Order: sequence, then C-alpha cells, then structure tokens
Amino acid sequence: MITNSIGLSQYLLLSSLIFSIGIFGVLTKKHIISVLFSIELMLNAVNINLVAFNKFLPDVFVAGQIFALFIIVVAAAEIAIGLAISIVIFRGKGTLVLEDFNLLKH
Amino acid sequence: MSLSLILSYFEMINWHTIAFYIISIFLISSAVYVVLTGNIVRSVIALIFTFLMTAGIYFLLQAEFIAVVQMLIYAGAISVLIVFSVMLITDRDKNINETSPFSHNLFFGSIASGLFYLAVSITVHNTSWNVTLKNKEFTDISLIARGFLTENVIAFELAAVLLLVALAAAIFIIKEVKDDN
Amino acid sequence: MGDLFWLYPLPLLAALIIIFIFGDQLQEKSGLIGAVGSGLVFILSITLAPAVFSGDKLVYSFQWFPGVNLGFRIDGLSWIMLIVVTFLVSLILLYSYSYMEHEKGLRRFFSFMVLFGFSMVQLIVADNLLQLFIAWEIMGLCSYSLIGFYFEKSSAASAGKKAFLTTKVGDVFMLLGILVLYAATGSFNYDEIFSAASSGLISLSEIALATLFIFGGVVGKSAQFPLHIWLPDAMEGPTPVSALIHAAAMVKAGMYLMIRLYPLYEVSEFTLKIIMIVGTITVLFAALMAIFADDFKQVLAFSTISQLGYMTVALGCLGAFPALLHVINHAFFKALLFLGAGSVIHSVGTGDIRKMGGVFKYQKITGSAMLLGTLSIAGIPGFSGFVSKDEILLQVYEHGSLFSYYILLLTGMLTAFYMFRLYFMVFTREKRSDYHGHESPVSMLIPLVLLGIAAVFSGRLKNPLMGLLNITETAHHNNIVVYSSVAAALIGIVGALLIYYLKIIDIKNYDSVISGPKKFFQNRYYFDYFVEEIICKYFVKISGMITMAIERWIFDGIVIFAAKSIKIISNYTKVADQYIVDGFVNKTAAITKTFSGISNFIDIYIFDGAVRFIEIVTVRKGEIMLYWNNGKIQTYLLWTVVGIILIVSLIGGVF
Repeated sequence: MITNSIGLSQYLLLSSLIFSIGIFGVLTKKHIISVLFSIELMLNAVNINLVAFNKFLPDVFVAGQIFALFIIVVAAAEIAIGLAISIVIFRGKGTLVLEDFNLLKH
Repeated sequence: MSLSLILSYFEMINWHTIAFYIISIFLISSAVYVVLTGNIVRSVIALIFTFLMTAGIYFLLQAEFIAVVQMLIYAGAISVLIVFSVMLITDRDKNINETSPFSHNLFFGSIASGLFYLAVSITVHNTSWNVTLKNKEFTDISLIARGFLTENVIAFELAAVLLLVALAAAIFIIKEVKDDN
Repeated sequence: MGDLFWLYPLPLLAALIIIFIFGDQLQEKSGLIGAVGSGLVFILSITLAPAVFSGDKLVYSFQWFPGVNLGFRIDGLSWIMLIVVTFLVSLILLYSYSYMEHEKGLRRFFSFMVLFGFSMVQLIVADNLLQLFIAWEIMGLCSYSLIGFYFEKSSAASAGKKAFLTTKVGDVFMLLGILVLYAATGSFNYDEIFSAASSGLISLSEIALATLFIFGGVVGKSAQFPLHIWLPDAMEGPTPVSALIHAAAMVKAGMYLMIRLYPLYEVSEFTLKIIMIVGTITVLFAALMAIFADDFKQVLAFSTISQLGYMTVALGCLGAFPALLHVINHAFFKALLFLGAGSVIHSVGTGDIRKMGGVFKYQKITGSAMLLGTLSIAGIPGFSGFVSKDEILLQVYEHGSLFSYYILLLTGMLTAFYMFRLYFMVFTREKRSDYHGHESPVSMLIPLVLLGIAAVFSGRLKNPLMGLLNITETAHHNNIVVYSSVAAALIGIVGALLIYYLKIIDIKNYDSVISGPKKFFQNRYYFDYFVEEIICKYFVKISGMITMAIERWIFDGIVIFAAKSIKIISNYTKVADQYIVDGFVNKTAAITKTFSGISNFIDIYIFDGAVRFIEIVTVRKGEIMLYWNNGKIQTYLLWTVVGIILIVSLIGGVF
C-alpha cells in the first residue's frame, strides 16, 4: 500500500537526476544540436526545482513560479540563438560534430 | 470481497504519490533516451515527451499556469523550432548517424555526471528543509501577474527586450552574408 | 540650475549614444556631433563659475549599494580641469571631422573618442576613488582600441596591446593603493579619507604605502619611468588620438589624481622623495631621446613624457599648484603641437621629419600656430609654458633638491633645442623630398588658431587659479632662477638655429662623436629591448620551468603510478578471465546473447573508452596532458563540472 506522500526532497532528487542527465549529455554528446537538447533538459530541471520550492518553502509567495517563467523566456531565447548559430556553423564548416572544433586550442 | 472494501482500498491509496512515480519514470526514461539515442529525430521526439512530462510534474506541484506555459512554449513553440532546424541540418550532415553519438569524453562525462548526482542528492538529503505545505487547491494566477508587474517589473521588461533581441539576432545571424567580391 | 550640475556631462553621453547608433550613416559628421556634445558640457560648466569662484563645493551623491555612494563633486580643481578637458575634446573632435574624412571604421573611432572624453569627465567629477577607478579603466580600454585603430597593421595592434598591458601593470598597484585606503578608512570618498588622514585615523605608514601604490598607477598612466614605454609606441594611432591622450585625457588623468589626493601626499615625505626621483629621471631620460628622434609625432611623445616629468618633480616637492598650472598649459600647447603635426603629416604624407622641410611656404597658418606652441613649450617669456615652468623651477629650487633643479634646467635647454630642431627641420629651409604641400581645411585650422591663442594666454590663468583654489602663496620669486631658465631656453634655441637653420655648424663633421649616443638614444636606451627580450622572455621561461617541474614530478608521477597499478590489476583479471569467466561464459552463452545488445553498447562505449584511456595512459603518458588541453569545449566543461561537484560537496557536507 502506498501511503507516504511525496515531499520536497523527492522533487529535488527528480530534478537533480534530470539535471545530471543533462550534464551527461552536454559533456558527452557529439552533435551540437544534441548538446542543445541536453541544455534544455537542464533548464527544465531547474524549473522543476523552482516550482517545487515555491510550493514547499514558506515566505516565497509566487516568486518561484515567476522565476520559472523567466527561465522559460531565457530558454526560448537561448534555443533560438543556439539553433541559429548551429545553422551558421553548419553552413560554414559542413559539420556540427563538436569534436571537429578545437578553436580553444589556438 | 465486497465492492465497498475495494473502494476503501482505493481511498487509502495516495494518488498523488502514484502519479508522481509514474510521471517521474516516464520523465526520467525519456530524458535518458534523449541523451542516449544516436538518432537526432528520435531524440527530438523524446525531448518533446520530456517537456510534456515536466508539465505533468508542474500539475502535481499545483502550478497550473506554469504547466500550461510549459506545454505551449516548450512542447509547442520550441519543439517546432527544433524540429525545423533539425530537418534543415540533419539530412545534409552525413556525420550524424554513422558513428557513435558520443565524443571521446564519454567515460569521464558519465563519471562526472554520476558524481554530480551523488553530490547533489547527498546534499539534498543532508539539508533540513523548512517545509510548510501551502494548503491551496491551485495557484492564483493574478498573484503571478501582480508579481510580474510590481516587484519584478524591470526584469519583466528586460525579458521582453531579451526576446526581441534574440529574435533580431537569430535573423541577423542566419542571414546569408553577401560577399562583396 | 546648479543643483543639477552632476547631469552636466550628459550631452557627451548623448553624443556617444547617437554616434554609436547612427555612426555608420553619419560617418565623419559624428565628429561634429561629438564636438557639439563636448562643447555643451563646456558651456554648462562655465555657468558654474560663479558658484565655484565663491568657494562653494558642489557635491551630489546617492547610495549605490550599502556602504558605497555614487557621488559627483565639482570644486575649483575639478572645475578647471573640466573646462580644459571639454574645451580640448571638442576642438580635437572638430579637428578629426576633417582629418579622418577618408578613413574606414569611423563609427568605432568616434564612439571611442567620445567615450574617452566622457570617461575623462567622469573621472574628474567623481567624488570617490572607486568611481575614479572605473573611469580610469574605461580610459584604458579606449586607449587600447584607439591606439590600435589601424589594427590591420601589426605594429598598431601590438602598440595598442603594449599600451593596455603596460598601464595595466600600474593599475594593479593603483587598485592596491585604493584598497589600502579603503581598508584603513572604510570609505572611498575623498573628503572622508582626507579627514581620516588629518585626524590621525590612518597611520603614516599606511598613507605612505597607499600613496606609493597609487603613484604606481600614475606612473603607468602618465608614462613615467619605467612604465613610459607605451607612450612612444602610442603614435601608431591617428593623430587626434595622440592629441587626446597627450593633452586632454589619459596622461593628464594621472596628474589630476595626484593633485586630487595631494593632502595625502603632503604628509608622506618618503613618497614625495620617490616621486621626485622618478620625475627627475623621466625628465632627462625622455628629453635625450627626443633630440635624436626622427619621427614628428615621436619627438612630441618624448617631449610629453619629459614635460610630465616636470609635473612629477613639482609634485615631489610640495608643488601641487605649479603642477596643476603646468598640466593646464601643457594641455593647451601639446594639443596645439599635435594637431599641427597632424595637419603637416596630412599634407606631406609622411611623419619623417628628414623628408620634410619648407612646409611653412604651404601651410602658413599651421606654421604660425606651431611656432606659438613651440615657443610656449620652450619656455620663452610671454608665453604660457614659461609661467608654469618657472613656477616649477622656483618650487624645486626652494623645496626640492638642488640636483633635480639642475637637471630641470638642463632639460629646459634640451627642450628648447629639440623643439626648435623639429620646427626648423619641418618648416624652414628647402624641401628635402618630393611632396605636394597644401593648407589644411578650415575645420582643422579653427582648433589650431584657438589653441594658438590659448597657448599664448593660458599662462594668465595663474592669478585667477590661485584665487579659485585658495592658494595664498607660491614659491618666492627668485631672479637667478628666472634668468637662468630663460638663458637655458635661449641657448637651446640658438643651438638649434645654428645647426638646423643657419647651418653654420655642420653636424656631419661630428658624426664620429655623435653616432654612438645617437644609436643609444634612438633605440630608447635599449630599455624596450630590455623589457621585451629579457624581462618578458625570462619571465616566460621561468614560469615554463615551474610548470614543467610540476608536470614532471607531480602529474607524471600520478600517471606512472596509475599505469603501474592498472598493469597489476590487469594481470589479475587475466588470471580470473582464463579460469573462472571462460568456463562460466560458455555455459551461459544463451543468456549472454539476449543481453548482447546491452553489453555491446557498454562494451563499445564504456569499456572501449576505458581501454582507450588505459592505452593512452600506458603507451603515451606524455599525451595525457595534451588530452586535457585539446581545445575542445566539452573537455573544459568537464573540469567545470568537476569544480561544481567539489563546491556542492563542500556546501552540502558530503565529505
């Protein structure tokens, strides 16, 4: 019988798991677009965090939700710019495989 | 077994908990699929599913407005954007599906992200959260609106400007550069 | 009206914004907009005159963040600097309107010029050190960008870099000095620091330390020995930029800072001594280089360093007022000389004075204005340079060391000599190369004429300034000092006249004597060589050695250890593999097959990765370092994540 209710920690653990998956993707995926997806996952994880805090912590009113909305705005801007940049890179280099870029070395 | 007994069982079940676990499982597995699959189109579909499941989590957290926004913006708008650009790029990029989807960092990347999860979960466990549950059925949206237009009005305006700049910048970046020569 | 004085720099900011947005459409007209903006600030500042002359101090400040106020302050000192700077900035911008006409990248140019002026104004009206430091650093950025304006030319790009990095060395000291003051008084505000100093809240050693550190910043910005090396190279920028750096902003910012903080310097004898020594070295050092320089703007650059040395010496012997007077006079005549130089170079097409000659025939107005500036800097009675130089000499004679005094006297002679050498070589005698001279357009001549007038009369400001700054006494008049300085200047002029105009003395006869020192001075004492080739190179070498040592003993040690242990483990696993796993695997082949998908995945991606890693470790341990520095973003992000994990662990009490 399932009776124990879900508290803040469970939500936080869930969001940190999603965040870790995002980090995994950012660190290991080869393709720029996949890295962008992983960043989206991380942003979503942060949002879950904020909304959960909004619900469970005192004195925050709706600040958590407002911040979540801001993050959605930023994520929208980020994905638009990110995709635009990838398209330009693709146009110039003919590939989007991150390993082919080692400009930081020079 | 009488019907009333079954009903009483049903009443004892905490549906919130069950829903949380079901949604979490879907959410986590689709997120894992997003990063593990080598096929970008499948990855996009899984990502959209992840967005939808996140919206489900928001419903559970009684943040209906965020959930709706999540569905509209993420699962609606951003997904379409992503699908479009994936279609623009992938069918011409031969490097994508042929080799491993992972870079040389796979080994250390997995260790680092695992360690990160470990560190954060221990931290969550160690922290004593000062939890008070708000007994509200749903969030009053007007509170959010008031928050946007009073305390956070500058941030709100800046967010608007940010979106505008992102819009203009995306167009500007993608615009073909005419070579003078 | 007067309450809003802190908003007076706004026209300049508005000009900056307009140029930044519409610069591409306006092109060289941006110069006019900037000139108008700066001129408005000038006029607005003039309206403050009654308040300032009545001895008021206008202060407006509000809280920026708790503990630190954002403040604006106009008193006698900042008022006069404001007037001079805005006047010069607007003239220089007006001048650049024609000078830069056919250049590319004008939006960048004018934006940075106006930003330069604006930050100088902000630096002047700031009422605390923090704000001053911010403006100071913005000026550093502008100087970098403007000196490197022709960035396609590698010499210009490296000159910009040199200016930025050299002044940055000083800025670090300056920040340290500001922080020492803040630690001692808990405030950045001038008045609070001064009152803390006078009430004995700060100990004398702290004041000495702070003033010395701040003087380090001044040495960088105002190009004193040994950080003067950037200024001669700064000539790579367009001429208006040089005029701005030498006359209105940048180098004058350092002097302003010293005069502003003079109540602190006054107390610390030790610092004053150091300042005087540095100034004395700089004065002679730069003047000797100027004698043998063959580039028009370079002569002027060396003379700037030398003149700044005069001010530093004055500041080193309690002469804040003579220094301020010389700052103002020098601002006028040096702006005049630079703009004149630009006008000549514009028409002749080269900056090499050996290829000029006879320019006066074509450019009468420029030539006459330049003559005024030259007479002024040489210190001929009746011109402004004489007044302030005289004050400095009197001050040094009375309060400073006699040695410095004689050096200054000698330098006065050298100054007159090299300035007239420059003048005679450029403007008189016959053409030495084929060029088509022509007079410059009107908008370049207006500033020249105005500055020529200023160069003659700005010496008259002495008495009003004394009233403005409540200075009752200056150094005692001493006929010997005055006569000897005039005599020194006249000797210099006559020398230049004999050699370069009348050609009575032919220097070719003395080649064997001169060529040695000439080479020495033309190479700038090999000082740049010394800094670049020896200090920089050995610094790089030593740091390389340290890194190598760390790499060899620590990282390599770890790698070797890891390789050895992996080898041992792999031996054991080999044994286990043969006897246990093999037998087991055969019997469970069917089960294995169903999981082969997963194991294949793990095999390829994880074990293979691990194996590849081990291979790298064992076979080529040297490459391990390369592996982490491969220039790929994900590798660097990995380290970021490692850092985040450590931080989270520390906060969350994981350990």
